[in-house]
Amino acid sequence: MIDREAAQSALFHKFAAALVCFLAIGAGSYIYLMPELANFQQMKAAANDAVISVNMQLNDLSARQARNRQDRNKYNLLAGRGFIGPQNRLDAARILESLRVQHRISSLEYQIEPVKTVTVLRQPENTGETLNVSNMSLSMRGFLDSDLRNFITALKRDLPGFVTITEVEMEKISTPDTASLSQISQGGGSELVEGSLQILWQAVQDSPQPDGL
Amino acid sequence: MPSLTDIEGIAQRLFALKRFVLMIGDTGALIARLSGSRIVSHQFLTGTIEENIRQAKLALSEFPKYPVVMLYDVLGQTYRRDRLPPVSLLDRPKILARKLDSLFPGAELKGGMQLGRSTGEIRGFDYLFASIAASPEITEWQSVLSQIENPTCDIRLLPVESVKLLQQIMHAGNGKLSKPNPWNILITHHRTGGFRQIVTRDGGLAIARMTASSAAIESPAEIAGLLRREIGATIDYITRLGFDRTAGLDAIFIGRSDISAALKNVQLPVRKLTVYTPAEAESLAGISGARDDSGHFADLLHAAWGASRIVPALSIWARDLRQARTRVLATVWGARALAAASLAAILYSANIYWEIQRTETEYAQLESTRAALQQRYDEEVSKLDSGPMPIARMRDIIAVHAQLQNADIDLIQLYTVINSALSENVRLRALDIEIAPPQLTLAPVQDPPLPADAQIETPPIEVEIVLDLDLSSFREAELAIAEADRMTQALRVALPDMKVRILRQPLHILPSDTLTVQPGENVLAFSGEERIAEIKLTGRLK
Repeated sequence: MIDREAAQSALFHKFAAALVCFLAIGAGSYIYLMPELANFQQMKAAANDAVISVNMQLNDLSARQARNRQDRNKYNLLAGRGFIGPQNRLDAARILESLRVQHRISSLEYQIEPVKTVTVLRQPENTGETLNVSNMSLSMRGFLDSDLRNFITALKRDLPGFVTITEVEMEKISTPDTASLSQISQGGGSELVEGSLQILWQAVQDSPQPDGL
Repeated sequence: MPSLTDIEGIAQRLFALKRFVLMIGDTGALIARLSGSRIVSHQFLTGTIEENIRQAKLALSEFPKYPVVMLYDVLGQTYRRDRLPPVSLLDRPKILARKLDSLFPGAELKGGMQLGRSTGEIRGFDYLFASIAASPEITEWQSVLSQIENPTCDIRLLPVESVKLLQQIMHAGNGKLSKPNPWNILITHHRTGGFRQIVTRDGGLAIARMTASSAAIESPAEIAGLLRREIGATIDYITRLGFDRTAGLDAIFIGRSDISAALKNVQLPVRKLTVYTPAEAESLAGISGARDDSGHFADLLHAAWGASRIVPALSIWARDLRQARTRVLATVWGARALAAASLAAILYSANIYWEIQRTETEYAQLESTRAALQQRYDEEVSKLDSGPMPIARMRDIIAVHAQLQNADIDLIQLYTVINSALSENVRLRALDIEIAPPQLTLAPVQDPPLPADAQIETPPIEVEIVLDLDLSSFREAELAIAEADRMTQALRVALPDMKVRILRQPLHILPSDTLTVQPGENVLAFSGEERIAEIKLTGRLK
């Protein structure tokens, strides 16, 4: 007798084995390999983008370096002009006296008030720079109004830090007459104009203010 | 465009299916082993039926895996042409089975082939139905199939399968371009039977006849005479089927060359007679190995043609057994296809795996490049901010200074403007300038940072200026007033952002003033009053 059923069963087993094999390989490929490949391709693309980005940042660095050098130079210039650091009132007195003589100011009276600190804030961090501000009031008398004007200009230029003028008054106190002209011709002095000046003498503190001010 | 037969021939050569063909005739049988359409070995079985069956089993047992195609070429074949109603494809097998049961009740071997759509008013499909009448010999040969290990592939009828053989030889012999005759006859000499006649009309089977060979008739002339009579009878028969004797019948004879020569001499009642030896015919049919030892008989030619067809013209095997065989074949080929697909999947997976490895390597290289670049960048950035003070704070200080400078009023320029507005007859008696100090702020931190001196715009600077003008050189009040007005106008032009107005005129003529004139007093001649004017400027100087 021929065992046809056994032969058919063997055939079916072969078919089932082939099917299982195909499904296993297909499933392995679809479930593991393809997502793994997609994952690596994504990571590679991200790494590539990162390399491009860092390269671009490196290219930008030279421009930043040039700008930093420029800003350092400006900073050093300001430091040299006394805009950074404490205000030296002894130096200021010397400079004022020197300017008074230089610009023929016959009478100079001034007053420097105590230093006030003003914080220049940055929003929204609430941090910033602190300015030392001294109010100065000056009264002076001279021969010509141009002497007063030149004195004020020189004061702005020569006083360390930054000077902001808030008020200027100049007034003719007398008209030159025969007597005063005769006195002048003999080498004597005569006060013809007087003026007053209000300024803010400002410099930045060289150590930063703590946060929260 | 290749025909179905051409495609089948290509498939035969491609797959070279290995199978046995067991051709059963009335006076013997033939067993042949095929590889595609090539006969590898053969054996004529011409003994008693028991001996033939024993030898057939022995031959088949040598290759038990090879399937067997049975090809019947016996006398007891019955053909009927009938119509099936137009039913759906799913229902057609059932209707066909019922039709076969009604046409051939009790017959085990029966089948049908579709010829085409019915012509005329009644819709349906024309079918050719065929069966083999049961006989003890047929039953014994059929029982062999259940006793051998070889699977049965199909059971077919030689006349039906060889219709295409006739067409093939006709086309190969005459060329496909010549217009074929609708009526053709193939006459072949068989060792297992006698002389087989297959008549076709328009490429379909018209009738099939078998003339048994007799030992009493041996000479070619006698055989030719016999065939002349038989063909005449065949023509009488097909005339009833619509054959036009004037159109004639094209005949092909395949057999012994001496009989062929005799046939040409006896003037067969055909329009054209073409004769081939089996060797010539096999080359025309695209078959090899179909020559027997004598070279006279066409059994092997028919066997190779009929059994090598992948799709039979008409199968007379029982439907359930045919379906079971189809399932087995589907399982076998399905398993093979799955194995091939698995191999392809393995190759595809290997390709993906290689791609993963390559991508991973490239990713690692990119990542290491990125890390090196990032380190270099970090080093450069750390150098950027090296120094006694952070660069950000330096920028803040520069920004504060820039704002102070922007807010600073250039007094020299202001003096120049006032001087240019003064005429020679007017002297400035007093000057009072009040400047509102600016409100300083720092811009929010930005990345990349803005240039230090471009961080923020300075708000407008509000200034108030009062000028005291000495107009004592004017003797007439009107002229002095006009001069004050002129100067006001000149200042308005020079300082367009400032509001300029006169606070005091040499005479009390302003709307807010009280003008008092005594009797006899000429106010226009400036009696004793100070000749002073005051001009006030307010607003933005920058």
